[in-house]
Amino acid sequence: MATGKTLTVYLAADVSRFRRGMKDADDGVTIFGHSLKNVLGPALIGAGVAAGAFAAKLATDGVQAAMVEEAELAKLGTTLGNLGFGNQSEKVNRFIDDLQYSAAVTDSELRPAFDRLVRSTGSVTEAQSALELALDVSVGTGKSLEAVSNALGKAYDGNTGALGKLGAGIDAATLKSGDMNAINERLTLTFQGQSEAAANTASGGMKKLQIAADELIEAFGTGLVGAADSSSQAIDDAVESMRNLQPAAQNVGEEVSSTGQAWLKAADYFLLAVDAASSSKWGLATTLIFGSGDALEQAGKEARGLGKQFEYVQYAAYQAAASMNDAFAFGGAETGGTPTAAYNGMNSMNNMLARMRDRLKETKNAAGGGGGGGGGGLTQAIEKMNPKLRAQIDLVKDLTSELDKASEQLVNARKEMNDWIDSMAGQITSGIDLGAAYSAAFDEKGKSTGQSLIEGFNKQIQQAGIFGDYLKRLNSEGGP
Amino acid sequence: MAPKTFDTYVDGLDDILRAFRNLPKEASAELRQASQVVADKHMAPAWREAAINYAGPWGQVIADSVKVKKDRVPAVNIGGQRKKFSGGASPTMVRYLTDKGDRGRAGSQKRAPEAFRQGTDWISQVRQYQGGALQEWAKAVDQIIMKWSHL
Repeated sequence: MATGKTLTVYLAADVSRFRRGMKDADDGVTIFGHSLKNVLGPALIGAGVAAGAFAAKLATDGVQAAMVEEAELAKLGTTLGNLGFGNQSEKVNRFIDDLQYSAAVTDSELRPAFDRLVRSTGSVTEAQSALELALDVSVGTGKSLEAVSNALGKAYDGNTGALGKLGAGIDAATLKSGDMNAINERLTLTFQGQSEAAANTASGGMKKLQIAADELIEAFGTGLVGAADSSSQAIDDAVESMRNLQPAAQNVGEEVSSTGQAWLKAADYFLLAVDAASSSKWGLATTLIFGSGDALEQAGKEARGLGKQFEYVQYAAYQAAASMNDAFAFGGAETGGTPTAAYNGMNSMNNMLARMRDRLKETKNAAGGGGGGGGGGLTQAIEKMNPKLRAQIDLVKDLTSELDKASEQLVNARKEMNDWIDSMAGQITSGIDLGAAYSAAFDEKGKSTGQSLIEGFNKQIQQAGIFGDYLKRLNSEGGP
Repeated sequence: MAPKTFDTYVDGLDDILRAFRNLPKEASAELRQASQVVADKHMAPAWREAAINYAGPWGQVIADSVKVKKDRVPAVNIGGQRKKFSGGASPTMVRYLTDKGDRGRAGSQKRAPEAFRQGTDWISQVRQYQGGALQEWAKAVDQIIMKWSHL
């Protein structure tokens, strides 16, 4: 007895794996043949991915499939009802459902064929046999099931011309007799087993799996809209709503992405400037301590450069704070939670930087006005230091402390910003929830709550649009 | 390499998983966590139930061997090498035989113990969870990508 190894069952794999391992086909696996590459790909992920794209893709495909299925069922049901076989609808549907798996032909092809045949045969049982025969003939002659079932239907109606043109090998005398028993016997003799043989090939196996996959997707759609409303208009509206939701959601995703990046870039810039200022200030302090006249002039230049850096940083802070202020006034109600701490942090940064800039200007003036003194050692330099220079050193020490506080506040502001972006992403992905709209439309017993499914979808789309507008405005007005 | 089997095949799935390399490592960690939750909620109970109900007298031991695997795609491991039966057999030893019996085996391997001859086809009884599990996992993938792709 072989000991074997532990079996690992994965919920999903890429289709390429299926092509490498056909042996799995007998365990009822399914293929989602619809390509998702156009919906989700590395490029799109880089740009900010559409919320719900992966899940909604399955749902929209399902809704479409459910819609088509419902139309086909309604058509066949009407035919059966008109012919007096309304009570056999369920039996016919089950027959077609089973046949699609055994013959590897989709129910979408089988239903119209059965519809055509039952109209001509006037019997459900005979139409079932004729459909099975049509499948054999279709495979054997290479003609479509639609063409064969049409020809067979016409033959039952008394016109055997189309059947003769199929190249089924029925002699002219038999055709001319119009005896359907004889014709069917001849066809059965020639084509019996063709359909079954084809269904059992590798290609047929693939087809069966595809059918199973389509039925699964269809089941999603049926679950989503099936009980909602039986009118096709309502289903059309639901499909349209969900299709509208995807670009709206993508828009919001992209705006969140660019807004977050712009703000974080601003925060990074602040920190870089603070670092630069931090290293400059020690240069300035050293120059002041050991400075000669030239060194003091250099110190003045450094101070002016530092002042310019702070001016630029202060301007950026002002712009960011102002745009945030405007944006929150515009969209605060829709956002739910606003990054108040981030706003306050940046605002106080702004004020602090303004104070620092003013003091640096004083420093620069003071340094320019001082001077004197040649080189020499540390002791000499300190001895030569006049009270003005000592005051500059004290000021630099104060600035160091101020910069440290500013850095700390900025780190907090940055954290708040990240939290806010997270909460935005969370709100968007949890806010855009087709399942929630669906659930809200029905109570636990499946009865309508009076809340329209379509309205629920549309409301979410509208909210997504408001988010998008709000974030777009932030982007256009804010950031460095 | 341990044998693998897959419930569904999704076109473009490898591209999606590959794209996670462009996201922070935390995104992949969250994906593994979310996949474990889906496997724990949908897959493991379904496989345990199928084993208990359809795999005959070996079902309980096989069911006990079902473990959720930590991976980016929901997955479960079935079987184990430890001896769990009085005759010294392990869950892995009986897993295949309880399902297929001696079908598809040749030569000496075909001489399976009498009790396994027909097999119970219990593995084919499991796949009902596919739809709900896939839908839930897809939603989790979306949320994770959405959360991490903008940072």
